[in-house]
Amino acid sequence: MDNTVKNHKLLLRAALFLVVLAIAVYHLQGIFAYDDLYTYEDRTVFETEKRGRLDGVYIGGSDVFSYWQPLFGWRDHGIAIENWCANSMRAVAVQYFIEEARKRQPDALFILNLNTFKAQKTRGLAPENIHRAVDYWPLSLNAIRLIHAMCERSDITGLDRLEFYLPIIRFHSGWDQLDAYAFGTLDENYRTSFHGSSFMSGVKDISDHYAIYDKPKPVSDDMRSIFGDLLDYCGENNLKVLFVKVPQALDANHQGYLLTLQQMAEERGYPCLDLFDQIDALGMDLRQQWLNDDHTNIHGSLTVSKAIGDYLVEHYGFEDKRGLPAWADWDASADAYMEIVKQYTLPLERDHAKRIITDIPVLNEPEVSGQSLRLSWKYDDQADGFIICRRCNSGDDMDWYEVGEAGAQAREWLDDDLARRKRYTYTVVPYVALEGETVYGAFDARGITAKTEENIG
Amino acid sequence: MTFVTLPFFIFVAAVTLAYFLAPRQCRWVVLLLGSYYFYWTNSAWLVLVLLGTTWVTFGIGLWLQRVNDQKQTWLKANGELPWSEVSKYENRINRRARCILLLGVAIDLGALLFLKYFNFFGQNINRLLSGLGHGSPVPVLKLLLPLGISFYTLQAIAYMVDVYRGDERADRNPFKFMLFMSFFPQIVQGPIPRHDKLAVQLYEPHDFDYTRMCYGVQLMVWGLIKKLVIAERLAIPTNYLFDHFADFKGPILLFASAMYGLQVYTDFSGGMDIARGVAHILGIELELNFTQPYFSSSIEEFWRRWHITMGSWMKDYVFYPLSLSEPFTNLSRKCRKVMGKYIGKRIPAFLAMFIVYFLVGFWHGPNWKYVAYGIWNGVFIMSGILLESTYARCRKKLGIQEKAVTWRLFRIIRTFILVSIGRFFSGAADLRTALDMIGRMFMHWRDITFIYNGTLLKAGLNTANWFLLFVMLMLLFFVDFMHEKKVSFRQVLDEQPLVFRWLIYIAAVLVILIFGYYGPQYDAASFIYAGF
Repeated sequence: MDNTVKNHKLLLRAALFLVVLAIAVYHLQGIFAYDDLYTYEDRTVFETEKRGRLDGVYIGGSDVFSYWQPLFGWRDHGIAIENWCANSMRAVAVQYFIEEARKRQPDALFILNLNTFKAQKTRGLAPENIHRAVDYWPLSLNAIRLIHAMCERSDITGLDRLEFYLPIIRFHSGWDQLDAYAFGTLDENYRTSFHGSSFMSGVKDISDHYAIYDKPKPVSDDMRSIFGDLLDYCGENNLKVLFVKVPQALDANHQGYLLTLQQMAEERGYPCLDLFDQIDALGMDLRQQWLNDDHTNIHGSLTVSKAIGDYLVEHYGFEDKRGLPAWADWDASADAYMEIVKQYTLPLERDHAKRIITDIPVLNEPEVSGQSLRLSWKYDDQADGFIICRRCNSGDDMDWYEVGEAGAQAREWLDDDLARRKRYTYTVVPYVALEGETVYGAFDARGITAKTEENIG
Repeated sequence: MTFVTLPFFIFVAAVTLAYFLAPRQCRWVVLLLGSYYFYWTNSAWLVLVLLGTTWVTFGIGLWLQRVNDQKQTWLKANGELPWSEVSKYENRINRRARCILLLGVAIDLGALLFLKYFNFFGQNINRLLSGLGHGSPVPVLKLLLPLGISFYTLQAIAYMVDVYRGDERADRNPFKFMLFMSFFPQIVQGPIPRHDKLAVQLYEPHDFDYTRMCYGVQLMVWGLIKKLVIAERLAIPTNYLFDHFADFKGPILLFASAMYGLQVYTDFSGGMDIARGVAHILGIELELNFTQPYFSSSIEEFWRRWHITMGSWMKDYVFYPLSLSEPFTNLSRKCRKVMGKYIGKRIPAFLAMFIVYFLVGFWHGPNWKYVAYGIWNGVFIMSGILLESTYARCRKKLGIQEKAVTWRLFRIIRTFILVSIGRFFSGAADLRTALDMIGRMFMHWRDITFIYNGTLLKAGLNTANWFLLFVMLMLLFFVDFMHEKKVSFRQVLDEQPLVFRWLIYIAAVLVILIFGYYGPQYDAASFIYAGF
């Protein structure tokens, strides 16, 4: 009997050890589930937000990261709406994301990116799709259900699914690539507002293939079922939901699918903010404000964030919380974020409705002589002058800095006393002075680059 | 289901639970069912080969026992007969027993030779005949090798010989015997058990003991560290250097071979630790197969510490029977007359030893490189014995104290180098490549720049991984050193406070989880010796 009692006590101790081990592994694997930085930041910031105080949660794929910057919304209107997203999010995951978000923000408005449902492929999910959706989630029944739901729509079976429940199994191979960032404290300042370098300076001209199609297309039965279940879920839980359709360069089929789903949502009484055909009304520039077909860059994001913010304030009456002591953290975050992005937004910070300059200065190849560089450009539209901006392409310093100004008739500018054998990138921003206010025009966000020489003699 | 997969650990947990929950008299049945399930998942219908060997061995054992019993009964009843009568009877009955034994060995060994070596013999015969212009008449067959056949065949032969010798009584329960032959922790890669040591443990029920479970799990964790963290990591640069040996010259090749040797050691001993750990949880002690072999000061000592059960099997069933046999005794007498007492006495032992190491090499695989591997080791052992007195005279002349630490260190390093050179034979693709590599090793033999000129970073491991490998090998050295000094690492750990012990256990598990080579990012781990 003594032996049995002793064995029982020791077994209890062993069980306790396993619990301690499980806790240690659970917390450690957060370091090793380090694959998608922005998803990681997004999840962590969302979880650290005070419970129950957000006006809204914006759910969707990576396009949400680019179209909606929470701190633009705060800066423009004092509304607090954070992103809760995943790169390449698949339709089936949206409901689980809402369920998870409701735990922390039960009364929020749930803004759902309709574009998330554009991909009709609902099965054969790749491991990357699942990891991007499920990684970094706190352990919960909802998380387990999401993993199961996504695995059921993949070709991954049996014990191969274990890597999603225990990310350390997959990511342990990257232990030798961990850097200080993985162990550093997350800077929560940016409230999931995007600040990646491609977002800041990437640009793709989509004007040649951006079109509006207005014919709905039938969606697959599976997608109809997923979307229908989502609408049912929202209805059963009396959720405040707004669908947003952001402008992307999509073909007729994809636009058709979205129209069908939009109709489904509207028939069930869910509003949908359709920004697809608002390009001109918003004063957006298809040549300059997208970094690829599906994502705006920061210039586009300024416009779309403002448009969404305007709509939300008009239709939902959110309180302007700027300056309130309880929201001092958001004020501080917005200031910090504006400081980061100001070099990219400065010329376009002004009221977009007042923009009258449409032409972009075409930059010529700079003439380099030793440590001097002569910049020249072509410009046929009206302008009262030009701001010369320069970027030094070294290390992390990719910001544009104002380095000079040229008059209305000027078409060249000399920059001297540069460093030897260094690359510099320039762009030229036209401006017009209107009623005492300066309005800046569009500019070549890629700029033109030249390298100074070794100074001989 | 290899030892390093999750299904195996789930299987072990299930068998352990079933074992200790089963009625005591049925516990061996749980082990039997578990063992055959394990075998089935690994080898499918090839389980029939294991069953065949088991039943033949069992039958031969019973037959031999009956002959032995007949002999004993007759001797008891006829003890007063003249010696010539008794001797005549004994010769007759011994001859019968020998025939039965040879029949059993022929069947069991025949299965192994056919399945593992048929194509090897066939190819060599074809080569010989085609050289003589007779074509290649021997076909190449697609033969599958049952899991552990090289191990359980030796186990079966040992059993039959022990019964023949009267050292063991034959097992009367065929199902218990099936368990002895198939016990899942040791069937994959040994140790090669003896019936008198293993069977009684298997058949007797064991009660759950927490301390035993802890020790067993600790052993398994250590085995996993050796296997997944060290061996799998060593495999990367080793495979690279062996595959691209033609791009290298000098000591880097010896470095590659040394790493290969360490890889084999950690892989094999890691598997042993897992096997012993599993058995320990169930209350069964498997024999040690390694006792810090890289602390050996001679090749002979190395083979006493490396794959111990194989060495003792060869000693008990090949070396002694041969060297003490009549032909060898006669040979010894003749050699003493011709070559003098010193050498003449040793020639039969050398011949027996040569055969032993030839077989050791051959057992490793159907390739001449393995034979060369065995002979390489055998030659050094034989020369060590032959030149023992010469070495002693030299040491005396040079004033070398045999017990001096520096002398022992020198011998350890020398043995390590010689063993590592021998590894060329087992690691290279074939014998010619091995000889080529050894030749290239001696070119530019002073060039050690590979250590710091970045060559090693091209071999598949980055700096972080090389550093980790170094740290883990130091840890392995530390643990082996403790064992060499007869200090049990586990006992030392047991004496520490609970919190410290738990930290070590958690750290060990995390080392495997984080640094182990497993999962979708890596190739599935497989044992080097599990192909035997």
